[in-house]
Amino acid sequence: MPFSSALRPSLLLAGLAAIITFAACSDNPAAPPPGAGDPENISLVTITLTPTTSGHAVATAFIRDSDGTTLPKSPNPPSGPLLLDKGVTYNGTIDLKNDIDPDSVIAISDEVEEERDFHRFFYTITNDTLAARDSINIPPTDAAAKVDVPLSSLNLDSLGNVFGSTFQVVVDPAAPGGGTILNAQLHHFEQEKGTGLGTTFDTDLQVNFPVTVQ
Amino acid sequence: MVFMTGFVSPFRVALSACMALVVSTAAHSASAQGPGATSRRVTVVVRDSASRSPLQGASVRVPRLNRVALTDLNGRFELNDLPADTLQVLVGLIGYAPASEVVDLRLADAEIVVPLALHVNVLESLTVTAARPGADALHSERATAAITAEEIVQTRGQSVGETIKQLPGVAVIQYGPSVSKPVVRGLSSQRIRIMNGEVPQEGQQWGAEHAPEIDAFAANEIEVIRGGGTVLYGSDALGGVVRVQPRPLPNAGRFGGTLDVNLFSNNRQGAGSLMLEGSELRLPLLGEIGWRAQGSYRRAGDAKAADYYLPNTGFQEKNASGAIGIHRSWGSSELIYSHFGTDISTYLGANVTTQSDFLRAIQFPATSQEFSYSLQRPKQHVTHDLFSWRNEVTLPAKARLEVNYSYQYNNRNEFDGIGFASGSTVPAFGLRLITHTIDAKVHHAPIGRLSGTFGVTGQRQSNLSRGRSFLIPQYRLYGGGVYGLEQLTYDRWQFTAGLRYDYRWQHAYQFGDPVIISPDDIRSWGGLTGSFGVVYQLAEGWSLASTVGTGWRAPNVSELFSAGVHQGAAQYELGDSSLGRERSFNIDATLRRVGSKLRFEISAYQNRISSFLFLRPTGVISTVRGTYAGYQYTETDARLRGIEASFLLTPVSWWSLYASGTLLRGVDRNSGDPLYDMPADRLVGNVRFYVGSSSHLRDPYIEVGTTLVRRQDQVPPILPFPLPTAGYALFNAELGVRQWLLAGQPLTLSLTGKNLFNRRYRDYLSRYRLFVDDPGRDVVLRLQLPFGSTRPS
Repeated sequence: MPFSSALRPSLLLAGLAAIITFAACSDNPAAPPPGAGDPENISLVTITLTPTTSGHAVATAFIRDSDGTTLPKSPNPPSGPLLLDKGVTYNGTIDLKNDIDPDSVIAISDEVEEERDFHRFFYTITNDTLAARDSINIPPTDAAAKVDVPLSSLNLDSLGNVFGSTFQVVVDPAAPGGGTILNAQLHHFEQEKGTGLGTTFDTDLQVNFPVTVQ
Repeated sequence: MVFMTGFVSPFRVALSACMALVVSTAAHSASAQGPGATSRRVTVVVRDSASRSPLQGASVRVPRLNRVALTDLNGRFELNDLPADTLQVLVGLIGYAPASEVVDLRLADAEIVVPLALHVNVLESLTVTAARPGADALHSERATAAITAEEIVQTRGQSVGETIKQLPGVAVIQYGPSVSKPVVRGLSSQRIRIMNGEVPQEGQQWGAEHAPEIDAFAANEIEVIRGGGTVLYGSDALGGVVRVQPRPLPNAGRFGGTLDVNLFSNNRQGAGSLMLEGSELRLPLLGEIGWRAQGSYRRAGDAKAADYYLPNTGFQEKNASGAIGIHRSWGSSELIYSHFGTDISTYLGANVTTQSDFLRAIQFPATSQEFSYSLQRPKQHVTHDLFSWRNEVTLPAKARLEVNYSYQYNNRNEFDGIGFASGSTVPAFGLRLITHTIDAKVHHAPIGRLSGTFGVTGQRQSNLSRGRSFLIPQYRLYGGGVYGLEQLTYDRWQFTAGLRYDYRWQHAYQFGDPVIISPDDIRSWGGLTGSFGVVYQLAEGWSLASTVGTGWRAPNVSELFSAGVHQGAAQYELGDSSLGRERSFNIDATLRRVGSKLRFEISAYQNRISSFLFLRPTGVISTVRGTYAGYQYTETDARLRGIEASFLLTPVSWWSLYASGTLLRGVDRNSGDPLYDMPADRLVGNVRFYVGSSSHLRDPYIEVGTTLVRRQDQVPPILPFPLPTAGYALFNAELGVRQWLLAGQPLTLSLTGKNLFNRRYRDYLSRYRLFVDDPGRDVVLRLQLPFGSTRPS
């Protein structure tokens, strides 16, 4: 095969050059990655408590984590205590946002709402900050606080299970004034959560708001 | 057992005949006019190059004819019925460097003497399929190829990592059955080099849960070179090299193939591979070419520990490859393409991020009483495409030039089960790694007693991020190296010296997220790799070898720039851009006995690594999500010391005994604490009995074995990950037959029971060990059916 013999070295070289040229395209790391940025960050948590009876003020407070849930800066302290009146029942909402990029604020609450069959909020009243933060289980509600978030007040998901993006806070007429903390947690389940009391979940949110009863 | 000549091991990971390494070397043929009609004979005598004594058990392979055999007591082997042509013969034996010879049979029969030089590196070879099972049965006085067939059915695991994990000095980091990362002498990931058919495998190897993207069915031979300073393989091989070799391309004119089926009871896995090959494809310009096409599929469900299933641990793999090549008098050229694709579900209970979730996952591990094949999130979808072009040109005076180019596209996507957008089709982490490698080397003509290789290599790599979350920055990397390796044989001595210089330039791009502080960063590294080795032939069948070497590696982008939560470890990991390169200084010594009834090898080594990079706890990091355990990449001086021994006794032909042991201690020299992630000490032992053969059953056997693993208490005093693990003993048994003629169709078959007593245990390197037990009993059926020219005659 003298013909192909003569061709071979040049064929090899040409082929090699062609491959390198061809394959070197479209791998430019200098271009910004499409879809980058983590929309799953929560940077702002706001609790709003609206009294069910007239004559009382709306209580609201927020916690800002300036670099979100996936970066190391600690969250700021809460904006202030939730100021509640004795003997009043409040309708509560919790709002989660990613506002790290002010030009692109993401409503995390809406994403959680879409996946409500896989999420559950927990609200507990305690006056032990440390227990609320790191307990493996949900801290028990401290009856002495005389502030309660009734389980029955939490809204439900599409399957009729507890979800809890809305809730009620019931303040007893005899509630003490200070030392009370509202702990809010959001649990994300790998599979449909059912009652939401299973142990295979990941914590999406774990925050404490001080409560002052006046 | 009459077939068990010499030291060829019957065991899974035993010392076995080291098949010749050269795959696509030149096969001279007279202008490729096809084999002549005359029947010729070649006699091959294999001798030790220093002592001149004959070497028994060396493999002799004629790649063009797909024939392989082992030498007898006198180091001899005869091959009959050969074409009157020039033929390439490859000779290999464990402990020796492989040799390639060309014999000219155009005019007459020939006898050649092939001297083999002792190999300096501690080389452990495992032949996973080797050439053709029984391909040479008619022509060989010994059923040598069948030994290879035996090893096929016994060794192949669910992954490449699992296939080699019982070799001395080798362990695996395991995330369930689907993710196995090789650990060589205590080092893994970016500290070992995995070569896939002479191409340095480039995936995201820094990640512990990122397993090598290689089809276990496509691996024909796997070799582990233990110890660093291997100048042929570049700067990252601080711990060693794992060489995975595909089958050599057929070079003689027939059509054949194999069908493999593997069934695993534990995770109800079915796996199969079909390979077809031939060499009579005729193309314009190129003439007759050799070709191969192979495809494989595997599907596994949840793995089962002794008492429960591990939910969401199934996986699925689809692989395909094709190769074409020409072998002519001027040399050879081969094009190879392979695609690896896998979907791996990861254990539900380990997908935790915050400390409280982590502690709860330990206290209430996710287990299930129900089996499932379904692949739920969290999961990985990984594909790896490899294109390589290998060329070899024969130069005057037995010199050879090799030029190889490869292109790899690694596409890794990890999908969260957690996170708000867990239903999103955009992966949480998506990384695309594109690598071009070119390598040219000359094996120069021997100058007196001196032989050697010189080479240059170059690499271009791009890393692209396509996920929602930041993990590592996008970057571009250029690397290059020059190296030389020379070997001198003198009397009973053999000296090997190698030197290599590598340079690497890397531009990491700023990440385009408002909160990520990963900077735009350009840096470069350069460094020398060197080794010097001596082998001394003490007496007949005894040798002593020693190597000193130094190697280095540049810190990778995750060590420099990572910032984020490592799910499954509940660790918040921070890179440190001021980290420098790691440098290793290793020394090892090996005593070998190569005898007809006893073969053993014992090695001791020390590897010191300065600026050893590892994660050090830095305290708690709090966010609105809870708290993470914070870890920062930092450096220390590390020292790893170990002893490995293996031993094969074949007192008579019908039984044999194999044992091996691995002992390793790694220390952080600054703190005095043990290093994290060191494999536990272990002993492996097997006894095999061959029962009577018949005309239909060749070499049926029974094997029983055990793996004894010591408690791992060499752990750093840092909670929570490095908790000690208890020791354990596992028992295995196997029934098999080397060849079974069923209605004229030969097949190789084995049935293996692993962890026979369904023992509960947790290996220290299992990443799920804090949560759940390792898999329980597994019954494995392996079947191989060769057909066409691949079928043994």
